[in-house]
Amino acid sequence: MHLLEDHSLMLKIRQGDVEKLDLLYRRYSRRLFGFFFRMTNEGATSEDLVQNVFVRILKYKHTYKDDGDFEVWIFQLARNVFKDHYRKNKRYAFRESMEPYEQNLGVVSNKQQELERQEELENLKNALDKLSEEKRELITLVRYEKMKYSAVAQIFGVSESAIKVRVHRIIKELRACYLGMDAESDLMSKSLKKE
Amino acid sequence: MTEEEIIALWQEQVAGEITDEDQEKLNQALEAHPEYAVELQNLKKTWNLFQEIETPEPSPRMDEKFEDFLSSQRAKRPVPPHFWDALIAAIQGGWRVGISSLIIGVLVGWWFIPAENESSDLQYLSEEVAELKEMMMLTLIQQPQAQERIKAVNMAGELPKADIDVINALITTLNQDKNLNVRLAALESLIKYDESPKVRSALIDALEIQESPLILVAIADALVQFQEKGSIEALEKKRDEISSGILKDKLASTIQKIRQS
Amino acid sequence: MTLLYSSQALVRSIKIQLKDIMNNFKILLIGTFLFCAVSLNAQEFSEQIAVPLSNPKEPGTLKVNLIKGDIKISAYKGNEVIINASSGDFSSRDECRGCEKFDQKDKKVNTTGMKKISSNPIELSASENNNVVQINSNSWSTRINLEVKLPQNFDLEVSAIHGRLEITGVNGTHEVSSTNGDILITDLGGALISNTVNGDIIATFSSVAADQPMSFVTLKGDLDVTYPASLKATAKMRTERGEIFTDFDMNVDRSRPEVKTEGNEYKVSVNTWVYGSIAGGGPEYTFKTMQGDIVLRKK
Repeated sequence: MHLLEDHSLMLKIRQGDVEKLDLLYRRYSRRLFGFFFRMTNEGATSEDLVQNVFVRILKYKHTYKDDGDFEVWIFQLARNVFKDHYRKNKRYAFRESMEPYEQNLGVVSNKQQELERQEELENLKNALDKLSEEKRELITLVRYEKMKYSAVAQIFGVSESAIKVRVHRIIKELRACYLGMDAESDLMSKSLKKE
Repeated sequence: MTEEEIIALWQEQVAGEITDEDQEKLNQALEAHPEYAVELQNLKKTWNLFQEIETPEPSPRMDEKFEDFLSSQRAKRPVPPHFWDALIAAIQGGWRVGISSLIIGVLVGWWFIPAENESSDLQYLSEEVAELKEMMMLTLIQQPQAQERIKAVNMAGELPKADIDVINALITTLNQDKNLNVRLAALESLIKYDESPKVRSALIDALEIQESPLILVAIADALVQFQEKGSIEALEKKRDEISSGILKDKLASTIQKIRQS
Repeated sequence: MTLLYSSQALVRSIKIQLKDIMNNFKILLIGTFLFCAVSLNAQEFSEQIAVPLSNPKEPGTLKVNLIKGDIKISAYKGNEVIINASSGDFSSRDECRGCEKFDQKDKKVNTTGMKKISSNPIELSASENNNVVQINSNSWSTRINLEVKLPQNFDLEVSAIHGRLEITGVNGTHEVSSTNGDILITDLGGALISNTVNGDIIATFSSVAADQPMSFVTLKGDLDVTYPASLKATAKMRTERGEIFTDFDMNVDRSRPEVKTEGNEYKVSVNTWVYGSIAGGGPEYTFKTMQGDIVLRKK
């Protein structure tokens, strides 16, 4: 963990030492990209949004507290960047081609049992896309960015126990949703057999 | 153990944040309630499945763009510090001297003058001042003295448009400030941004978080003013938690008013 | 350091720690006074301690958190903070609205005819660190009344849950709250932010700090505040079921009334903020109560 170092780096940036931003970029750009990618499903957009976060770090550096938690702060900025982007673009008209990014994905194993797993995974991904923005943000931070509940609670401005309950509900909702999809595809295959 | 407590412990467990002691408590609770055990077992499958979702790597373009941005900032460095930076630093440094109050007074006065003029210079100026006010507000809201934080939240209510950072700062203050008067002042400023769905949902969430009747009554008033039908469920839940008294009556009448609106 | 200690039934422990603060701050003297009582009858005790300040010439800060008991704070012409803690009776049982409920909750077991043998130790601690004096108590079961005398220039941060607060003659920036008790303030200087749920707030100011906002909030009680005649301020007032009174020349502005139509009549709902500027206006003073009246007096 770099918590202490992140904090002191940020304090230096606040004093005007812009150079230190480079280190923070190296530590956080991938995580932020992951966050935005989960939220938008668009690689190029996510890259732009990552850039916006670092622009805002300099713009709002004065607001960083002496006893701040940098991880919490940068993800608060990231959420705001995403919201502003979302507000401007309302809904995504269509998904851009994901090809160049999918090439970057790790090699997928071809084993038979992996296929079923992949199908379940696809269903989960689809279920994730159907979640509301706020829920998707929450589950991304907790499950994907692996942030501590205490940090997420600070970002959302609610109590830690409220966060745990919300996350639990989302997991439940997701499971119900993708099992529902399975059931649908089962039904379809059955009706196909009948014909 | 209530269902909520079990859920909280379970969430800690799957996230690897649980203490040994709590783990023991959870085990006992699950033995006592096997119906939860089965459900949680199933949910764990979903939880684990997340690990398999992969995120692609960004393209090299992202790093290149950042490099460009950083060198553009470097190029700016020899120039004397930004006017606002210097001013904010002065405010932060000399805070206790009280000069800042004077500056704020002048600026607030300054702010009201351009309102009636439409000249583009003044408009530009007023935008700059608005930005400055916002930054000052975000600085003030962290001061240790409650009086300063009240100034900040009052200032936030006067900003011409609702910036998301300002709204977030107000929501955090509403839910976390240790002084109730400051929380109430934050609420009053939030009410001015009644168009924002974020503000509306934050007030509904706050019903669950807040404990003081002083705040809950004020939130109830705001929800009536907003005619926020989406809040009825949360209001009813809160009403049912309270055994009797002035707050319970208030919540009941609030629900009725919102229903009729 | 002077410690005035007198005790019969109390077991005390005093911890004085010298802490070398690593920064270029000078060495701070941190005195921690702890009184613990384990006695047959914890209901009766009386203790006095005097806490010297690190910089007696500078203004100080007093922070008090009490759960059950009255707090009296007054300024005197001395350099130390003198704390008197006693069990005693509540000044007036009626002032502690809601206490009975608590007491009943504590006494689930029927103990009629039995003698109390032991109770939890009362824990009350006071510490001083760079002119910040902090008094804490965690006692839910035993009432502790505090009387504090301190130099005139002090900032107060005082909170109680069941108890009446009385403050006299202190100059500074103050935060005062009591959930279930009245707040009585006389001869105060500076600025005050205050709240209570079930009590009244009655305050008299001898002087006010320029440009500092003030705020007074209660649910069930009245707000009765007296200011010097030279006051310049903008009052922001709201009461749901009470009335507003003042003898200041107030320029009243109901800029955003909630207007309801009933037939052909227009009714201005009282349930909204009333703004009044005094002597051209100034820092914002908020007054809010649900069931009580608001009274703004000129001295």
